Amino acid sequence: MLKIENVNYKYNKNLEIKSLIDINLKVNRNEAVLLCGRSGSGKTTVTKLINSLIPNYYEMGELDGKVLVEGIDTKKAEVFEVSRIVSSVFQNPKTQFFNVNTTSEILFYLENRGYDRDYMHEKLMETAELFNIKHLIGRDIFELSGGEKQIIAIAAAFASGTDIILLDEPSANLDEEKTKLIGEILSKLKALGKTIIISEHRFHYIKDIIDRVYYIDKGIVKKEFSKDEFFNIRNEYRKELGLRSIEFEHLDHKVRKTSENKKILKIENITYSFKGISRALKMKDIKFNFGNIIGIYGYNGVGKSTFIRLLMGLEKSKSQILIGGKNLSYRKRLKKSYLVMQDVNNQLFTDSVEIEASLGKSDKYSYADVEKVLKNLNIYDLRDKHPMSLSGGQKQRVAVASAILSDSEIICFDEPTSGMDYENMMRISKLIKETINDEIIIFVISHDHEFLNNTVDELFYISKYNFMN
Amino acid sequence: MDKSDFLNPTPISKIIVVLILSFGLSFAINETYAMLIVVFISIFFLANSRMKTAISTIIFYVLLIIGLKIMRDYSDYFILNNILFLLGVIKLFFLPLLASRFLISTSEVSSLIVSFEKMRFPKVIVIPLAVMFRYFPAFQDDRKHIKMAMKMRGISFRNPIRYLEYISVPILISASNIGNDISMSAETKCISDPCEKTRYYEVKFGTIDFIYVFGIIALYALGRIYA
Amino acid sequence: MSNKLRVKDLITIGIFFVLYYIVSVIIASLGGIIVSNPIGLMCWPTIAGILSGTVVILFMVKVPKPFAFFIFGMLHSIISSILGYHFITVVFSLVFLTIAELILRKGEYKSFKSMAIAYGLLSASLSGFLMQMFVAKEHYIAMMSATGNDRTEFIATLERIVTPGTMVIVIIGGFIGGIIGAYIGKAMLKKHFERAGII
Repeated sequence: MLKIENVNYKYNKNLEIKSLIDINLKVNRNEAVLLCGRSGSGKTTVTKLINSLIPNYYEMGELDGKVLVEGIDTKKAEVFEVSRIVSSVFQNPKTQFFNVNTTSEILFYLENRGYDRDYMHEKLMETAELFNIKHLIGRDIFELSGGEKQIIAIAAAFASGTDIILLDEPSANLDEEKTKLIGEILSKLKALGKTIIISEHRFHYIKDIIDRVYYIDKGIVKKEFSKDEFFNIRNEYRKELGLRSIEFEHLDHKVRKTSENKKILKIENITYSFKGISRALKMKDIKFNFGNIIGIYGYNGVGKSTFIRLLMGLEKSKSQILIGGKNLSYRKRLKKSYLVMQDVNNQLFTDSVEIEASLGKSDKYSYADVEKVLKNLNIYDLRDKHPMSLSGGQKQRVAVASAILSDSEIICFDEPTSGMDYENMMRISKLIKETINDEIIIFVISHDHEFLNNTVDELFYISKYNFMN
Repeated sequence: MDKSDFLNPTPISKIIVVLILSFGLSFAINETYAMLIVVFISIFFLANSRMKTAISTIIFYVLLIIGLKIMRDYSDYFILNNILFLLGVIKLFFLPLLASRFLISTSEVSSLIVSFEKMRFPKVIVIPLAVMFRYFPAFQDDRKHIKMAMKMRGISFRNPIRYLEYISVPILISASNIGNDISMSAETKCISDPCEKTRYYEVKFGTIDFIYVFGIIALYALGRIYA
Repeated sequence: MSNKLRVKDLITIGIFFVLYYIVSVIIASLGGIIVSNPIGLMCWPTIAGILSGTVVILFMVKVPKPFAFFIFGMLHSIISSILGYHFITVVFSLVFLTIAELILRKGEYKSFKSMAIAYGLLSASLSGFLMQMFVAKEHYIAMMSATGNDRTEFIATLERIVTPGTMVIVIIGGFIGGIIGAYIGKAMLKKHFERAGII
């Protein structure tokens, strides 16, 4: 059904580096094939070959070899021609839809292909039934959670009726519950005869449907695994390959104990009502120790980010929070806090790594101090580069440099490992563990169990019941 | 979309009314009829579950007229002149602005886009318009996060030039990235397929459209006659 | 790059137009204080021109194709019409944008100078809103006389400010604001966006 023959690809024909080298792979009808590998290995590039965004969307690139989708040579076809056979689901739930209305998005392919209304209505009902999403039909996409958006994206792929469904890290930004749901949906799709190609870091939720696995490293298909071979890989070996845990990883519920010997952050009382929803966040008498790394987890949408923002003083509220025994106003807390956001792009402002790291505090630090921090984080060589030109991991390290140089006592990370491979995840984990000291308290919001287990000293769960209706 | 839409004119009718009233700025009409038009449109707001808007509009307009009449007598005071000018401008453009508010606040995005297509707007206009609705909420979301980050870094409006420089970087880069992602998403859903497109959401004319459009035309015409 | 406008370009037009609109309108309403004063109102195209330069220049560099700029500018008039502006603003914009498009064509859509001039014309065309006051002025005065309110300060102000002379000043002011904005945009591009790799 799909054949990639002897493909070599460069994103920029003027450069030496090839992104893909001598790639050969094939996918048969009704198979579910997994593409895995480190970040930057070429997995995503391969997915772009399959839906023909390469070569059509990348004018500077150079493609050698053949990609045949049901016999169609993607070099000679337009994206819309190939899209009649391959539906694509992308990583980022926030940016992958064109329409504002969920129904319009689900039917968008059919509208663009000129199907009549009756057929579209039928397909809509069929999709809603199959995916159990009647409550998501006809709504404003912006009101949906990340998981719900991703489900709509997959529903749209199904509704289009294409034989091949291609997914690029669909679970990247989702919590465990929604990830499991996606897995169930994919099982249904496979049972209906669809061919599924999925590029992923997380594997446990698709264990039941995958037939074959391609492991890609540095642009080369290094290994091909059968289902049994892959899902029985020893833990040590998969770490060598740079892969995330193949088994579902349970959270180590570390026992929480606060010691009075260390500095304490005490939440006497937090009260915060969400705008537009009749819910409120209420907490009383909770203590944390400085010198600890605290992992915050809970379902998506439950208020973890809000909690952090309240703690840091990024949002005003009727809260009493004591640091070292002193009740600090939100303004004072803000001066002592720093947040590394989920989307680091939203917090990079200047034109050089050096300036970015020391922004706002340049009078406090000597150049030597800045140098030391940059070297520690392995970004000293990048000090003159524009922060926005760096890779995701590098940008994150710039943000961490700013955190350290900001002299903050409260440092928070919001989902720092979304979509990260094993080595990068461990790197961030190490970084966080190296930053902590008795004057600092670090909060990490994450649904990444493997990461939390490796990093945090204690866990803090925010349930739906820290809420009152 | 299955609400009782029979009281909601199509976006096309609403646009026609806006155009009529904005074109009508060139000509004088009787004050009473201007007021009647305000009331007429307010009734439509009411019929579409916007009672607060309906009432506040009428109250605002009445206060506007009274205010202008009173202030006229005190036009020697400089400050009042400024306010008078502002109020005068508002009164001048009131009718078309009200009609456009009705258009925007009571129309669903999908029906707006279908309306543009029905009115034979070329693709090169419809797609950007559709994207505007798609991008605006994403922009607001980005803006919220960026503002938070700026607060954290102590970048404030105190140094306005630097503030403007710093805020434009993440916003414009995000805009660029979102543009790329939306395009890839649309292309892989065959947006460039040359066949004729259909739309699931329909825009159908009903009695309410005639009432709305011809009601305005009638009131306006009468207002011209008695001007 | 092919010269036809593709879906990707149309999407870019939509997105950058939103940003342009927000900047130029936010200025107008933030300085609601500015705008409520007749003098302030006349400065608006100039200020909007200076502040929106970065957005528009970045846009022009991203989509250096025929009609991209024209559509971008016309979106402004179309939106304004839907918001209740008089049709004359559309005609006004059409004139300015056609000239702008021709100038861009001459610069092969690559020359910065032609972009600056084109953007200057776009900013100048923002004075179209004043144009409609011109048109509406007659109506307003007639309306006021009919009800005996013809000697108000507002009328006097209107008659004073909405003249062909002031129109010319506002247009030129808008143009100059645009040129300044374009150069600011160029600097921003060099400092940030080229190095960030998005162009």
